[in-house]
Amino acid sequence: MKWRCGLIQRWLPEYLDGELRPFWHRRVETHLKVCAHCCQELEEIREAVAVFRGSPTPDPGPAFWQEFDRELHFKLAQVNQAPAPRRFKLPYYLVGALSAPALAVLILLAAHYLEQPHRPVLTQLAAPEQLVYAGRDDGLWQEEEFPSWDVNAVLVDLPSQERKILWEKVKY
Amino acid sequence: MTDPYLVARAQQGDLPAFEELVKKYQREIYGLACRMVMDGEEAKDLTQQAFLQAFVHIREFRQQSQFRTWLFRIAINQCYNFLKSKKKYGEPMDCQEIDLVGEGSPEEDLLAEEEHQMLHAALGRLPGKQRAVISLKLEQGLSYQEISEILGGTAGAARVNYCQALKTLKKYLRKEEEHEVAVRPYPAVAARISRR
Repeated sequence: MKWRCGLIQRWLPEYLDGELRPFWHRRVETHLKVCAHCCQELEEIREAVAVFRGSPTPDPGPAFWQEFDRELHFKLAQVNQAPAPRRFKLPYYLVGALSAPALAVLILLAAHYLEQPHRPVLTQLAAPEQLVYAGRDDGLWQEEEFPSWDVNAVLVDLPSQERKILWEKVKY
Repeated sequence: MTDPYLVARAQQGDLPAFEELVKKYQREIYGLACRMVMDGEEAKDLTQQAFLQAFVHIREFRQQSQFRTWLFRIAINQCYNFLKSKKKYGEPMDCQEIDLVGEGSPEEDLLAEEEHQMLHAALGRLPGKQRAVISLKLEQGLSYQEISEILGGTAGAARVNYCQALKTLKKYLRKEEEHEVAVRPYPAVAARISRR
C-alpha cells in the first residue's frame, strides 16, 4: 500500500457518508479512479456499513415496553420518595470567619486556666488538739520539743497588720 | 413539549415530566445498550439503570449540552461498567439472540438471520469503545462533535476512532464469512458471498 493510499483511506468512511469537504472529496474521487486497492477498500467499508444498517436492533414489542415502563416507574417512585441528600454546606469564608474567633476564645480560656496555680483550699483550720505530730508516740521527741500547731498562739504575738497577712496566706 | 422544558420540570422533582423524557428516548438507549452488551435482558436492566441515574442526578445537568447527549453518556458509562465487571469476573459474554421477526420469504429470513449472527459475532470481538462509536454514528446518526461529547476527546479523535472501528469490523466480518463458508457450505451462503 502506498503512502497516498493510507492517506486517502482515512477519509473513506466520510466520503461514503458524503460528509467530506469539497477539496478532500475531489482528491479522494480522483484517487479512486486510478487505485483499484482503495476502490476495493471502499467497497468493503460500504458492505460493512450495509450489514450493520441491514440488521438493526429489533423493537421488542409493546408488551416489553409496557413492562419496562411499569418497572421503571416503580423504581423512580422509590427514588423520588427517598429523602434528598443534604446539599447545604457552610461557605468556606464563613467557616474561616467563625473558626478564628472560636480558636482565640479557646486559647484565652486555656491561658487563664494555666495561669492560676493549683492550690488546695483550706476552708477551716483544724483545732490544735486534733493535730498530732507523727513522731509523738514513738518516743523520739521530748515533750517540750514538740512543734506547736497552735496558730492562734503564733498570731497573738504578731501586730495586727502582719496577722492579717499571715492569716490570708494560711487560709489557702 | 421540548426537552429543556421537560428537564426543567424534572429538575423540580416532577416525575411525570421525567417519564415523558423516558418515553421519548427509551428506544434509542435500549438500542445502544443492545449493541454494546448484545443481550436483550441485560440491555433492559442497563437502560433502566441509566434512566435512574439520570433522574437522581438531573439537578446536576446544567443544560449546556443536549439532554439526549447527556443521557447517551450515562448509558455508555453504564455499559462500560457492565462490560468491565464481566471481564473482571471472567464471565463469558452472554450472546443471547434477539429474535428477528421475519417479514420476507423463509430463504430471505434465513439469510437475514445468518447476516445478523455474523454481525453479532463480529461486533462481539470489537472493543467497547469502537462498538459504541459505530453504534452512535450509524444507528443513532450523531455527528462527530456529539460523539466526542459522549465518549470524550475531540471530534477529530472520534472520526479516527470511527474509521478504525469500521476497518476492524470489516476485517472481522470477512473472517466470520470465511468461517461460515468453511463450516456451512450452503448454496444460499455461497450465493450471497459471490454476490458481494
